[in-house]
Amino acid sequence: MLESLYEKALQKKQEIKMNFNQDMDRIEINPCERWKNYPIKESNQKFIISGGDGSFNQKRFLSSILYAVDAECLVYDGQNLKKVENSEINIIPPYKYVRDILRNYMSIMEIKNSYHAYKNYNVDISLFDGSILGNIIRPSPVENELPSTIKEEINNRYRPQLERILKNEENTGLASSQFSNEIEKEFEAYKVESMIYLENLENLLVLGMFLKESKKIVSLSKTSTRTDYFNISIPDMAIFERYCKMEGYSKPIFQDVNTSVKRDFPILNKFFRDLKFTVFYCRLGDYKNVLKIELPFKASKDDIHDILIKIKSISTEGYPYLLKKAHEDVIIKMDDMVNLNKILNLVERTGRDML
Amino acid sequence: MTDKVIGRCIGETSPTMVSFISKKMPRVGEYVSLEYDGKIVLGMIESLIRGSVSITNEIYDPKTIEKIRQIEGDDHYIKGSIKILGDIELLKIPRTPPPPGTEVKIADSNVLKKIFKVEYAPLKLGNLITQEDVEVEVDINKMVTRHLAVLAMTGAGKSNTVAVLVDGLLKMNGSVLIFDMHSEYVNIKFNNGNINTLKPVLNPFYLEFYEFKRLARIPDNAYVQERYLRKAYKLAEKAMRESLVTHNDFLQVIEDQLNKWINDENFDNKDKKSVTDVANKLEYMKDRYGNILDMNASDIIDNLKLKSANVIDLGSVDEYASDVIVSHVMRKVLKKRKDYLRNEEGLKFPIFSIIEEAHILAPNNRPTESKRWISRIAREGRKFGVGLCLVSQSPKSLDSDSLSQANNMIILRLVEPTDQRHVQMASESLSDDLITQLPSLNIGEAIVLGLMTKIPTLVKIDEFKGKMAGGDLDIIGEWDIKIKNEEKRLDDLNQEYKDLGGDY
Ligand SMILES: Nc1ncnc2c1ncn2[C@@H]1O[C@H](COP(=O)(O)OP(=O)(O)OP(=O)(O)O)[C@@H](O)[C@H]1O
Ligand SMILES: [Mg+2]
Repeated sequence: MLESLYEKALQKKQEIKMNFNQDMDRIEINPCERWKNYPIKESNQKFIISGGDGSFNQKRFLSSILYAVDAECLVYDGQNLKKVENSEINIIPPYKYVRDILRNYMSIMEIKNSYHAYKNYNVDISLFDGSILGNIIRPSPVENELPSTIKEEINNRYRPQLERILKNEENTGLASSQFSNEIEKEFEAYKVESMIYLENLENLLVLGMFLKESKKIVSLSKTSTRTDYFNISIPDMAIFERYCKMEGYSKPIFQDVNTSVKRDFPILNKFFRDLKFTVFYCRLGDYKNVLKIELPFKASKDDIHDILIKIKSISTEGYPYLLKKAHEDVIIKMDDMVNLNKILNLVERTGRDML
Repeated sequence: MTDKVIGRCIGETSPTMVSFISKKMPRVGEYVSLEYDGKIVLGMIESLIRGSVSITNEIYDPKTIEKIRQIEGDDHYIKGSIKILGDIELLKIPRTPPPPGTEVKIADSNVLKKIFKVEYAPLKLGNLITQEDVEVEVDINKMVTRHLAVLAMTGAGKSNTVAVLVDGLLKMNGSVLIFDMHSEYVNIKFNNGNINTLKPVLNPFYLEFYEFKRLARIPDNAYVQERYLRKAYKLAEKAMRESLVTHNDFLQVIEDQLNKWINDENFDNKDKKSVTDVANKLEYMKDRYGNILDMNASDIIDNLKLKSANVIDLGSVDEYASDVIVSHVMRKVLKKRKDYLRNEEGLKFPIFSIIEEAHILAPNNRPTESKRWISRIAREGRKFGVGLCLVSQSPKSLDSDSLSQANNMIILRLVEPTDQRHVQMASESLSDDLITQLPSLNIGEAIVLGLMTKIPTLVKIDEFKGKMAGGDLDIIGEWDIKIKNEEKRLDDLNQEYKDLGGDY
C-alpha cells in the first residue's frame, strides 16, 4: 500500500464519517414500529433439527484451476450429533464462470446433504446458511449465452435421467458430471455453457424435490442487502441492527415468486412460480446479531414463534450452533488448498510467482 | 492387542521425540510402544494436553459452553508427546523416526517387567506408577559407583526412600554409612541387617593438624597462633609416640606446653598474646565440643561393619561440629579405601555413604570442610568403591558440583521452580516435560533417572515396612495423650488425697 493512503484517510476522515450511514436519519417510519420485542422461550419439547453449510476454494494456475468443494449437514436430536458430508476436488479450465460453477456445486451438495438428512433422520427443521429464495430466482449465468434449441434439447434428453439418479437417495454427489463426456461431444461449440446449464438444472431439481416434501426449510443469513421495509437505500438489516436492540422479530414480509421473477423456470416452472416466501429479521437474544430468516411458505404468527423457539434452543451467542459448527468444519482456507496441492503436487507457474 | 491402541503419531517425528493424538486418556509417565520399520520401540509419555475444537479460548459466556457440551457431548482430543527410549530388546535409540500415523500402543507389561528386572545386583525400589503390576529394580553397582541424589521437598518421602535403599543394600550384604542429622535412623529396624550406631565423637589424636586447628577455630590468617599451636601439637604427638603419655593426656600435653610459654619470663612478649589466644581457644574448644571429643575413642573407620547400617548420630551436635565430624569421616573413608586398594591395609569393603541434609553440609554458596570432601568423593569415589548419596530438601542450596556428579537421581515431589531448575541443570536426562510433572507427584512417588535404571521412570517407592522415626507426627494424638496424662495425674492426686482420708 502507498503511504499516501494514510494521508488521504486522515484528510477525508470528517467527510467520510459524515456520509457514513447519514441516510439512516432520513427514515420516515420509526423502525421500532416494524419490530416486535418478543422474549423467545427456549423449548424443551423434542424435535430433530439439521443445519448445513458448504465451502469452496480454488487455486489458480495458468492452464487450469484446482478447486475443492465440500459440504456438511449436522443433525441434532436433543442427544446425539450426526453428520452427512460430501466433498470433491478436481481441476477445470479457467472459464470465466468458475465462481458460478463452484457455487453451484456447493449448493447442490448442501441441498442434497440436507435432503438426505431429512429423509434418513426424520428432521423436523432444516437450517440453511444463506438464501434458498436467492438460490431459486438467481438466473443461470449462461441463461442468455445458450441458444434455446440447445437448452431444450438438454432439458429433454437429460432431465429424465437426472431425475432417476436423484431418486436414489444414497447418492449425494454431483449427478450431472456423469454426462460431461457425452455433452462435450454432443454440443462441441457450447460444451462449457451446456454443462453449466445442466448443473443448474440439477440444482433446481434437487431444490424442487426437497421443497415438495418439506416446508420446514429455514434459510438464515447474517448479511442481507434487502430493502423491503423503509423505502431508502440502506439495507433493512442495518436499520434494525441500529434501532431495534431487543430480542424479537420484524413484522414478516411475504413474497410471491411469481411476481418477483419474470422469466420462466426451465423446469418445475409452475411449482416454483406458485411458491410464496415469508421473510423477516430477528434477534435470538438482546443485543445479539440481527439475522434474516426466509421460510418457503406463508407463515402464521404461530409458525414464526415455533421456529424461533426451536432455533433459539440450539443457539449460542444468538446464532444456531449447528450452523456455526458446520461452517467451521467445512471452511476451505487457502492453507488447505496449499496442503491439498502438496498431495497432488501440481506444479506450474500461477502467473503470480514474480510478485 | 488392538484395544491397547491409544492413538497415532502426528506431525513431524524424530528418532527421540514424537507427538501423538489420542481419543483415550493415557497417563503421563506411561510406557508406550510403536511398531515400525520392522522393530518395536519403547517410549514414555512425557506430556499430555486435552482440548476441544469447539470450546476455545474465544468463548466468554459459560452458557455458550454449556450448550456446546450439550450438543457435542464430550468431544475432546488428547495431544501428547512421547520420548522414545529405544527398541524393546536393547533399548538402543532407533536410527529412523516413526512414520506419522504410526499406532501408539500401551506397552506390554511383560516387556516392562523384563526391562525393570536387574539380574546381577538388584535392589527393589517400588512399582511403576502407571502400571502397578510392574516392579522396578535398580542396579546397585551402578548406584554406588555413580552416586545418587535423593531430592524432594520436605515430607515427600526422602527418608522413606533412603530406608528402602538401605534395606535393599543390606539384603545384598552391603555396608552403608549414614550421617543421621535428625537421629531418624538410629532406632530403625531393618529387615536385612543391623544398625551399628556410632557415637559422634572424635579423638583429637586422630585428627589431622588442620582439622584440629579448625576445631579450635584458629583463623586461617592467624599465622603466629597457628605456629605455636603446631609446635605444641607436634611435641604432644612426639611424646605420645614415645609412649611418655597416654591418649588421655594428648590435649593436656598441648595445654601444658602453651602454659609453659605463657609463664616463661624470657618468652618473646610480642608473641605471648598470641599464645594466650591459642590457650583460650583450646579452653573454649573443650567447653564447646567436649561432647564430641573423646580421648579414648577409637578411629571411626575401624568400627564400620559389613551388612550393617553404620549410623553416625548427629542429632545432638550443632552444624559446625557436624561439619568437622562429617568432613573427618569422609576424608578418612576415602583415604582408607585408597590405602586398602594400594596395600590391603585400610577399609576392606566398599561403602555407600548417605548424607542427609546435604545442602547444609555441602552448601552452594559458601565453603565448608565437608563440601570439600563430599565433592572429592563425588569425583573420585567411583574408583575406590566409595558411593555417595546426597539427600536434600533444597537442591538449589546444594553444591552444584557435587550434585552434577550424581549420575543417578530419585526426585520426589518438588514444587519450587528454582529447585527444579537446579536439578535440571545437574541432569541432562530430565526434560522440561518431566520437570512439569514434579509438583503433581504424590508422597512416595518419584522420577528415577540415571545409569542405575535402564530407562527413566516414574516409580511409587515402596513404603518401608520396618519401624521408623521422623515420619509425620500425630499432632492431635500427642496433645490428646498429654491432656489425658495431665487429667490422670490430677485424678491420681485426688485419689491419693481421698485415700489419705482427706475428704472429711
Ligand atoms: N513410599 C511411601 N509410601 C507411603 N508412605 C510414604 C512413602 N514415603 C513417605 N511416606 C510417608 O510420608 C511421610 C514423610 O516421609 P519422609 O519422612 O520419608 O519424608 P522426608 O522427605 O524425608 O521429609 P523431611 O524433609 O522432613 O526429612 C512419612 O509419614 C511416611 O510414612
Ligand atoms: Mg527426612
